[in-house]
Amino acid sequence: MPAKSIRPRAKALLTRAGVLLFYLALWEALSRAVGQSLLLPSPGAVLKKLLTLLPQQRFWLTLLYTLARTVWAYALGIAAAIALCALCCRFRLANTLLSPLLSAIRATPVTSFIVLALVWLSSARVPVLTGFLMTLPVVFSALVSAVRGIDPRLTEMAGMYRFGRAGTLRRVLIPAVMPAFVESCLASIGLCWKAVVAAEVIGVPKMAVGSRLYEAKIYLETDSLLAWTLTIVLLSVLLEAALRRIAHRALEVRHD
Amino acid sequence: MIELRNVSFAYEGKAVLSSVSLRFESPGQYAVLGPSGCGKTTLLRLMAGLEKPQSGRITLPDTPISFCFQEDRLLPWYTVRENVSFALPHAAQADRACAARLAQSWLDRVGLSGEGNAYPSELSGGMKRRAALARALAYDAPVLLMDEPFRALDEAAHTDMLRLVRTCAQGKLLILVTHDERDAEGMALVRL
Repeated sequence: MPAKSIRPRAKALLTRAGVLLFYLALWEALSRAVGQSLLLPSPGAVLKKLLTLLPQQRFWLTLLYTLARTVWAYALGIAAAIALCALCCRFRLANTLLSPLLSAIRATPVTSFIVLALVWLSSARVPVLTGFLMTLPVVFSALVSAVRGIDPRLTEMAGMYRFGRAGTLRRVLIPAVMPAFVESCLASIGLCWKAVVAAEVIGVPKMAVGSRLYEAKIYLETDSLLAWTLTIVLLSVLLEAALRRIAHRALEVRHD
Repeated sequence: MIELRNVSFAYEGKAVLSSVSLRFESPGQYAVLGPSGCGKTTLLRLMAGLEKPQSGRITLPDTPISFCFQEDRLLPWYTVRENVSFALPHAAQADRACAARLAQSWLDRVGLSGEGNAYPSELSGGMKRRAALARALAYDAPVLLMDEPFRALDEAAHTDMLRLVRTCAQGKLLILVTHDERDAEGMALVRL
């Protein structure tokens, strides 16, 4: 790799490290000012707690369960959004019926869903439903507006040159909606992840990051609370980065 | 053969064509001339089956029709060569390598030899026009409808493309909408 391209990358990395150090120093200073680890433990204490959690099998299993719930909710939300979008584009009545419902879901506070869902479902299933309900309207509305934004002149051209239904879908419709779809998927993963953890905090299922957060709060283990929060943030960042990479590839591979 | 009998068409209540009767014999080369807004594009769209007349009758051939739109209408997410290859007859598209070669040969003919791998956004207005022309010609239909196909072309390219279109349209039905009298030279004239 040429030296010229290394320099800006190294500079960006150094800048990020600098920002991280700044916030760690601020955290440390605030922790010292407060002077009570129960209220605000130092970064060192949180890191120490995290290091004690890392070798535990239960820690990884808990993460795995929450991750599985998130992936499940996310995949279901995206699949449902695609199916409903296809339905709405095909039948006007479906659009008339579904659009207000999905707008209402989008506007409803996540906690309302969680509390309501706890009445109907087991506590292990509530996070999946909550994540699903957070993903669905975001992807659905992005897809519907992307489909509506397709240049009708291109579909007319496809008809004129006899692309056929499959050809029009593959060569015109899918590439046209792909950028908006990918963006909405990237935007909703964070929402889904947070909704799943929030539902776990309220529902307290057996193996869940949210349940560990709840326990840490009950037993006033602020260092544990922050260690789990740090894990959630890290996992969320990693998940989004992985998705971004997949999305980048999906947008690159547009040739049939 | 395309025939229009007492065809009328209006956009939002405003009459564009009123009781137009025309007959285009195949093979033949026709130039439709007229000032802006006289309904030339509408006439072509009616003949392509893209619009339905409000009154009158249009007899269209059963064969495929190639339509060169006034706008380029190239798919921005595909290369110029792919854009042209998608218009090739379905049998030619089955073999991807063969389709690419055929599409490239059309690009060569319109003077875009080196632009096959470029995306439409990387081309100038005139190059896009030539790519759209290559696509229309690659479709290889017995009926060619062209709506101001030489727009945005410089003088030399205009002459070359007109010659190419007329050569490719030998033995076919070509209906060319234009406002340039020079394009109509040697063709049957239809004035709107």
